[in-house]
Amino acid sequence: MIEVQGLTKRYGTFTAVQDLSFTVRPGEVLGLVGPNGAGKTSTLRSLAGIIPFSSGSVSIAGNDLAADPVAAKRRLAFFPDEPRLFDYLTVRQHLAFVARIYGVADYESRAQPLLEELEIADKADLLPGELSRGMKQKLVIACGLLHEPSVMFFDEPLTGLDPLGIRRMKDSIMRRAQAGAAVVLSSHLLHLLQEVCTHVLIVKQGQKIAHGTLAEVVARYSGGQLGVSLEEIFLRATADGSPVEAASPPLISTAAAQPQTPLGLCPESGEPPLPPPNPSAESSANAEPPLLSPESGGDAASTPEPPLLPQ
Amino acid sequence: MIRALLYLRSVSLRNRIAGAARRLRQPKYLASFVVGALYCYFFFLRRMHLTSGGLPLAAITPAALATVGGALLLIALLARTALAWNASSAEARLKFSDAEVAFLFPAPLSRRRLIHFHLLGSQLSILLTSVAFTLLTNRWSFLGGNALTHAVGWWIILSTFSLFGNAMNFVASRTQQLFGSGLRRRVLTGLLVLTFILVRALWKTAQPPPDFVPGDFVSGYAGYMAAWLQSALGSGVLLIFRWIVAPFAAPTIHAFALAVGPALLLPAICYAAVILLEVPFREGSMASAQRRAEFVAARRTGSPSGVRGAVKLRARKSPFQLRGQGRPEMAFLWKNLIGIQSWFNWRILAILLGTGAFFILTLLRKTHPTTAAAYAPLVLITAAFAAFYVMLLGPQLVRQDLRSDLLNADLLKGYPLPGWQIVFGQMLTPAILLTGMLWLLALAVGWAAFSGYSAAEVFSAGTRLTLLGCIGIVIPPVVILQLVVPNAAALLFPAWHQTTRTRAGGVEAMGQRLIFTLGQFLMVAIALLPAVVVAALVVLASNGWSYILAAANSADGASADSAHHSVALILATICVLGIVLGEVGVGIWWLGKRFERLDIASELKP
Repeated sequence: MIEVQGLTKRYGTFTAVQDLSFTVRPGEVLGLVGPNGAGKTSTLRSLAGIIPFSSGSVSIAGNDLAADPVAAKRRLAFFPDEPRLFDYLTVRQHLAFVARIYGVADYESRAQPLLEELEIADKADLLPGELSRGMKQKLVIACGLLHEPSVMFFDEPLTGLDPLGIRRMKDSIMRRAQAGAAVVLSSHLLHLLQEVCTHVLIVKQGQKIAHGTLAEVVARYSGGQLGVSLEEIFLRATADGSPVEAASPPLISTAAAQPQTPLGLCPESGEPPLPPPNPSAESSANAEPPLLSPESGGDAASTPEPPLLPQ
Repeated sequence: MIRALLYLRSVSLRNRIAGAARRLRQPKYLASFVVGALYCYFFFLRRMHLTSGGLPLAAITPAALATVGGALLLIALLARTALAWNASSAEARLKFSDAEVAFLFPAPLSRRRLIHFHLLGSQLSILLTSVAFTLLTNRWSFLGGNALTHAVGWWIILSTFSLFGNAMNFVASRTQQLFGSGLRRRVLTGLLVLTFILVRALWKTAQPPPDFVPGDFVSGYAGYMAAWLQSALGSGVLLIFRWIVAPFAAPTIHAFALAVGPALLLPAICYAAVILLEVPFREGSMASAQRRAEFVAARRTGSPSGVRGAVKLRARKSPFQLRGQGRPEMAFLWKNLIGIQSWFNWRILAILLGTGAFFILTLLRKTHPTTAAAYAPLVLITAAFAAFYVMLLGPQLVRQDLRSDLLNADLLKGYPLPGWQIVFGQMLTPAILLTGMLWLLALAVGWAAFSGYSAAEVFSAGTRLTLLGCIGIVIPPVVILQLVVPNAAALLFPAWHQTTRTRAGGVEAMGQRLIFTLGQFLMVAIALLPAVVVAALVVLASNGWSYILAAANSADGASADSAHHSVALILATICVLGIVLGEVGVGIWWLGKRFERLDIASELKP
């Protein structure tokens, strides 16, 4: 599980991430979206312990990242958008190296199925320089999955993959989430989020714009319209003048406790629809849209589900 | 055509200077520039007008200089020939940049014009190199002539080498076109046979070298070498190569004027060959330009393939089996030992060292049939110099540690390890390499100490053995202490460190390297000072104690003295070990903390 409270990251006087709080439970896949420069990568690098955050707290599988980074990192895997590998180690040698770092005694029996799953088993003796970008990305993923992490951070995981690779990667992420991993996934590919994520967190200029299940976020920005695409929702949410979500109770606080479908619906209860905040994003600049909280939930039985996908 | 080239070169140079000047607005580059400029002034320019500057050495004779220089040029041209004929596909090529290929090759230019464009372009580089070499050689007081004769002399030598390379490349390509690749192998075999004949001739005529005379050793050894070469090869073999070096060796303007004509004969023949041989060179030039562009791109990103030269990386065997569990530091050692195999191979090093030692020892035996003790001073001096340079430059040159993985810092920081473990694990490979080298040199010293050399026998065998053992024990922690300093510099100034890795030229880059080298020397000296002081105090106190004991018990004084010396050395070594290990521990712990806080992406922002 990932618990983030008041995460702030500053570079000198510039604040890249401001007071970000959210929780990702086992089995959930959180989509982290936002325009370029919104602070997504800074957030992920802070959560993975690669850069120290300025304030706030992060807990990875019960381990405080600031107090015990080694224990926290032992439970997580970070997959950067740009595959970073050692030029002079082959695919197989990369896995042996990572296994020793993480203390994976039986790595050989784990490595082969991973390589086969990622379809790079026949490249095991090649150097990164001899691999395509997509293959390199697969090798990074194999290295990250070798120690069976319970928390995973993906930064643009599908860059460089071919269509079949994308399909397999999506399946792989969902399968690992179903097995109990908590996943945060940053991507500009909104259709990917629709298929894979149970929750979504929209950030802009380092601040949280919206956070909740896909259904909640769509409901909040659809203005009661049917068939609004997530792309449209994203554009409305991140438009100039759109409200920033204040430090408020996380939207998923109750919904997330229930099993989710990939589309973010709670099959048993359904999601209470949110009243349309405003007809358009422009007019919502001065109005705080109602947030879903345990107290603000409506009557699930009497309200229809908001449309999530383009019809 | 010439105008276009001059325009291109002048605009490129102007933009480069403007870029460098803009960088000087940053204090660290300005400081580096000042250090580099001061170094250039004191080392080269200040001595330009000092006619008798430098070491007070006797002048070398022009004939000896021309003969020795001619022999060196012959070796260089033989190597260049082997390179041209050994190319897997002897494809003719000329050096053009990627941009020049893109603009000039589709342009309506004749073959001859393209060749002239290349030759003129290479002349600009040769002129600059000639000036740089002149600044260096003008400091040598044992040379005749003046700055002008040296500059023109260097220009002729370098131009000959460049034109010869082009000509040989074209000849190899043309020959392959006409006769296939079979002839290529025969030419290479012929070159090997020729080299063997030359070495055999030199071997047969080897004579004992002259005695060492301070102030006269350069001219003395040059005369000896020239006489040896003349007797081995005869005057005819080296004639044309002596002509080429003669303008550089000319002692007066008159001699220089007479020497220039014959010196231009070989370059003129090479030029004619390049122009007249109808060999297609565009494809080869394009491939070569592409490889160079890839190398430059790799160099800019700090990739090892770019930093080490255009070496194609290939998969290497694991140095040992790495199990999944155990100390994680060993994983870094394992990784970096694989990494160094692209430029370092234990077996090749052992073969080279063994072969070199065999030839040198055999030659010495042939020329100096005497006892082993006679070589002891030479071995001691050589080992001391080598150890000094390994200590001074080794940590700067062997950098397969955190410095080579700085761009992978994000990857390393994701690992579940405290920073100090990563830093220490990364340092193990260079530490082992440098320790191995220093242990070899210590072995050489040990051989000299037990060879019967009278000066070494001032100390008893036990004391000598103890001293060698103590040196051997102290070497590894001192080496790691030395590695802490450049790694600290890389972590404190990552952008600066990265610049020295990826940018080759410029006065400020030279200044940066000087600052790093001198800074490391100074830091290590300061770090070792407490250990040296404590060790000295321990030895002195122990000696005082041994005198008291010796006075109290005068019997068996020699063996007691030896034992006390050994005890003093062991005590001093324990103190040195304690202090140095403490400093190493604190240094690595601090580096680890610094590494944990490092954000390489923001540090490397321009």
